[in-house]
Amino acid sequence: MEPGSARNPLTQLRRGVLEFCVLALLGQEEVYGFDLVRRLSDVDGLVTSEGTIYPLLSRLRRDGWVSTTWQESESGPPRRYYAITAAGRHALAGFSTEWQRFRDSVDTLLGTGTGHDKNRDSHE
Amino acid sequence: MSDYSDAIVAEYLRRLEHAAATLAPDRRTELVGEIAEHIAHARAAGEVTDEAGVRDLLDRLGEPDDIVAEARESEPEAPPFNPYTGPYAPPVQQFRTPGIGLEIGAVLLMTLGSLVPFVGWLAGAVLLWASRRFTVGEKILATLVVPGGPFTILFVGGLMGGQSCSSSSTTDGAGNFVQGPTTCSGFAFPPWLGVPLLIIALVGPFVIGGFLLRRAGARASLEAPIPVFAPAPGTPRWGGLEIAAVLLLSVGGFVVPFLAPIGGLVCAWISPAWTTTEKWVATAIASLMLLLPIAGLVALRL
Repeated sequence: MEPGSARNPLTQLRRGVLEFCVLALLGQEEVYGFDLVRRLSDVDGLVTSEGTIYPLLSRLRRDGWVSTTWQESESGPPRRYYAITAAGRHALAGFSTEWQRFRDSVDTLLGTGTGHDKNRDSHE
Repeated sequence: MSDYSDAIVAEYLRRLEHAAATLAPDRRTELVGEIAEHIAHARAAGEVTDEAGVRDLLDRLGEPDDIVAEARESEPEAPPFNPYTGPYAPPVQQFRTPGIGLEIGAVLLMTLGSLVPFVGWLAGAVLLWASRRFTVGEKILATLVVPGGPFTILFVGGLMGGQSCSSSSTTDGAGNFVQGPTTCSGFAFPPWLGVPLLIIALVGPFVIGGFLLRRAGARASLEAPIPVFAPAPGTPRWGGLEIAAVLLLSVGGFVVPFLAPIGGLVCAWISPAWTTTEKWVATAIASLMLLLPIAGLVALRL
């Protein structure tokens, strides 16, 4: 990470969105830490370094949006499974609505995406 | 996994731990534990079989500094890292309003201190002239209002015995006593002047002293706060040592002359809670109490 990148708007945007991506993944099923990190890491452009996801998971746990349980594994050390909580689902629902509006608006201004076309079509 | 791969992982975790030293202890333990777990799971998954695999795994994890920076960013509710907090931190720099211990010591010694003739007042005068909070005019006023202090006046009066008068009588040839002329030695004010003067001499220094202390206090309150190191938690300003010092320096001197004031002096100077100024005031009082019995003996012999 280059100096000052913490203030980089894209870094901030990615950080803000990433936690809801975690919640979205956990909304489908319980996932253990390593697996969760790998799945997020495999999404293009979402995660710059896998290690930075763990502090995010800690915060989600402290905020009560996810809960964790330890489970024995047949191969390897015990696994810490992450599950979304009711509060997490509520936050995720709120974000999903806001994200669609936000995405469409940004797309319109940038001239990218479908939102722009729709708006232009309806305008014309 | 080779020993060398283990060494690479150990080195990575050591760097992470070092970088995480800026985090709260429980956060640091948690973070390092999670990253170590991640590595263990990657190994258990069989994706790390050689040195290249280890290096790839660690590259994907990212630089320890970046992970720690993220951990700090992810805690907006926590105060920003402050090197002056935490278990191994030096005490927080604190400030106190300037005290007027020196000035209080000066006035006390120049008034009540004159109970020990000359020496007590002189010690007070030294403190008075050492103070930065009195003007030269105030220092001259305090010095000249009653040089030697109010009680020295009584002491000097006692030594000189005021005015003593005697008359000689002779016996004449018939055996009658004949009253000779009365001769007086020494000097005395007539009562109508002497008594008010004595009262003024006794009360004046206290009044002037109180007046000067108020002005010194007002000036001290305008001064810049003084940086002080907070005493270690649980160190009260007045602990057993300080109370012992005060007792030994005050009543102790009357009960066990010489030894008690010396003990009090030692207590005062080894006190971790008192400032240097306070210790010097204690020293002035101690020297006073050391001289008290000497002055008493001298007075008795005279």
